[in-house]
Amino acid sequence: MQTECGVAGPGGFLIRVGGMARLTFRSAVRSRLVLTLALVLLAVVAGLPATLKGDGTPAGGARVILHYTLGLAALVLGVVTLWTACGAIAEEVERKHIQLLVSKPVRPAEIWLGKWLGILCMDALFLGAAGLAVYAQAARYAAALPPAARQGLRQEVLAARRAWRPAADPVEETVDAAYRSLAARRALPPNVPARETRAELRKQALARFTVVPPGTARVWDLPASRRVRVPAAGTPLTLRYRLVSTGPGRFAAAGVWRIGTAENPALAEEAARIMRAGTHDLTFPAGALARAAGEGRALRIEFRNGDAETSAAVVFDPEEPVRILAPGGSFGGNCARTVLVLLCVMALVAAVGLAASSALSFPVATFAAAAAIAAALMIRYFAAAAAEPEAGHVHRHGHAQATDGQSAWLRAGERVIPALDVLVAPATRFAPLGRFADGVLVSWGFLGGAAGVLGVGYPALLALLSIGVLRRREVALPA
Amino acid sequence: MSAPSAVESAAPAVVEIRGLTKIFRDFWRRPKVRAVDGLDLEVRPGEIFGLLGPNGSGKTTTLKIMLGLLFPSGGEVRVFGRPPHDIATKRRIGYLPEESALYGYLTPRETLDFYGRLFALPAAPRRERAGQLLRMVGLAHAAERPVGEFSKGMSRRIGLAQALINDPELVVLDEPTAGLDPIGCRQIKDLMLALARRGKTIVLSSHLLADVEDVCDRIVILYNGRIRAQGGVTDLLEKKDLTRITVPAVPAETLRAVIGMLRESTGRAPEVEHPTMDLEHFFLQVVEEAHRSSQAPSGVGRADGTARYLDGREAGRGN
Repeated sequence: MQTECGVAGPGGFLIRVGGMARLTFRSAVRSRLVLTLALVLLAVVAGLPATLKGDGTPAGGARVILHYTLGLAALVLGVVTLWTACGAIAEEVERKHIQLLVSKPVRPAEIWLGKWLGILCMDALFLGAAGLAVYAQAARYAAALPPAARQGLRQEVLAARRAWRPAADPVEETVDAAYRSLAARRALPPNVPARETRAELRKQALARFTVVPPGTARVWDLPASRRVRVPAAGTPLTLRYRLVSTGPGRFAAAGVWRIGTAENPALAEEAARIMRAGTHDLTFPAGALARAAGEGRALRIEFRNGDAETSAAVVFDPEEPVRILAPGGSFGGNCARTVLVLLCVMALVAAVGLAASSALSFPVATFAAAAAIAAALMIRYFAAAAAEPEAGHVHRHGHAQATDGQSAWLRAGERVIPALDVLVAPATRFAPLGRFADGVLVSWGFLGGAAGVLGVGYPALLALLSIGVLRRREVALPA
Repeated sequence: MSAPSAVESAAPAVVEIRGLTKIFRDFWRRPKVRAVDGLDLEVRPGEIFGLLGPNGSGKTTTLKIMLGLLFPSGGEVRVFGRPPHDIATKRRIGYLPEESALYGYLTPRETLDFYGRLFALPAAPRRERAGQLLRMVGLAHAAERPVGEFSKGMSRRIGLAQALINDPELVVLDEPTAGLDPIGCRQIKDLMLALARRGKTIVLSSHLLADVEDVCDRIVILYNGRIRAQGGVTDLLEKKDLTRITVPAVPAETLRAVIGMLRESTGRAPEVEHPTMDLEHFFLQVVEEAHRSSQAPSGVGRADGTARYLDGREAGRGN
């Protein structure tokens, strides 16, 4: 007797996975989860812009709509996604539905994939709706502004500007060179571990690259880029710089920004008086500079600080000190890509929830998955703390009895935390909302990276883990 | 009961269990309960095989190991010659669990469609089979109501329908008549007999002895995870030292003469009684008359025989 009446091969796989996905989506829809979520998202999208006023400028108001509204919608959806994913398999086990599922010719991988895709369908529906609502709100907001302000808003915020950055400062190379030089001169400090010496040298190198004292200048070279489009006539280019300090005290800094090429370094020049740390924009008229940018020529940016009587030292952000923003695409396209990157984030959240759900009961899975996500978001701070050489001083300089046990933990932490940081670091690189709300292009490359890392890479690893657990799990154990 | 030729065939066993032991452990992996203890049994193609025993005797545990839902602590289980978790094996099995673990938010039609998808059935046969099964279990009129609103008996019928969506060769039924009214019980028993006539193998567990006696070819009786009795139902229940003769009512003189002859032959007087109809048959007769004179009850409608594809009447079937 042969009852091989089902579709074999990839077709059968798709039918089974599609069945699981439909079931998961229906479960969400019919448990009134979707209705509740729709009401919450409606309240967020409609209510938030009315309650937050921004900084009083048109750009500030628009940023509230773009960043906070879409961000809060994504946060609410993230919580619901985690909740749904944590229940997706755990509740199947608790309600004994899994016993029927496992008796059918469906593989653990198909159950996992179907559940994951079903949750993503729900996410896509709501993120799409939230993205459209935010886009419509931003358009309505711009339409209500006077023409000049509207024009400015469309150039600054409701835009998709490509960022043109200088090459990263060679901090590690500088540290290596300095360390080798000290070693060659036998000038390394005695009884100090190499890690601590290097940390000190790193601080010095960072200071050299980021601190611009009064009376000095810093130059950044932007490599030639063919990706920067020639702006339309009248479209400005923006120089964005970020300071982490303008110390000491409340002293203001004053200096001059120049942008040009190697041959003509002052194609554009602008004086700046800097009252606070943070992000600042300077707008340069498109002209010779725009032409140079459009021709794909290397640009040079120079900041010359004022003298000690009129200015204070400034400290640039080591990660992103300066960049030029030039037109790079449409706002609608940027909005769509931002929503797709957020969908990739949801894909990872759903995978984390499903991984926890395949091994643990619903409440324990929810707690474990939420804790794992929180730890992943904070691990870089722990890693930075673990890398601080001061942590070792407790062990070396005193409290010997009390800290021997601690030091073992510290040593373990010093190894484990950086390893975890390396493991999760790629996942934390894809935060599109800041770019989107700043009118910075969320490029196809950025979206592709997010899809590869958040949408495929990490979920695939978590899926393998979950499938391994599901294969070994007895699903019909007595309670 | 199914044809003896099917039961006694020399074909390989559908289910082979050798030395099966299952020990449930606590959180710290310490042994808690020995649910099955050195079980050996074989289920042959085309037979209706009953697992009997009181609660906690290991019936359901044995079935769940056969289906790959639990793993044996010792011994070996093979279904169609393969391990129970093998995907190709599962394609040939239909399972009705003890508790109908159905999704309350799905309608019966969606439920059958979902389980049909898990067997990768194409859309058209899926729809067709779902319709036939719904008519077979008498729930065609409730096909669009959420299963969560159903009574236990109605859920049980949907559970049975999903177990048959793939036209299985081996049907595993755990307490199939639990929660069903006498009509449902009779229908399920008739269905089991019809499936066995078509060569399907059925394994059922039950503690309702009348159900088992009505349909099973062979049984095992479990107690504390061990087999206490096994064999053909007729062989086990036959009273070889007694003979029953049933004839139409006869005049008193004839009866007296027959009794005299039997007393002379056996040396003791035979018991004479007027047989009564059993309550199940009487109930079914009353309900049948009620069906004819009024509308169907709001829950389960009139069942419509066996689904055509299970009868082998569907064109283009695989077997």
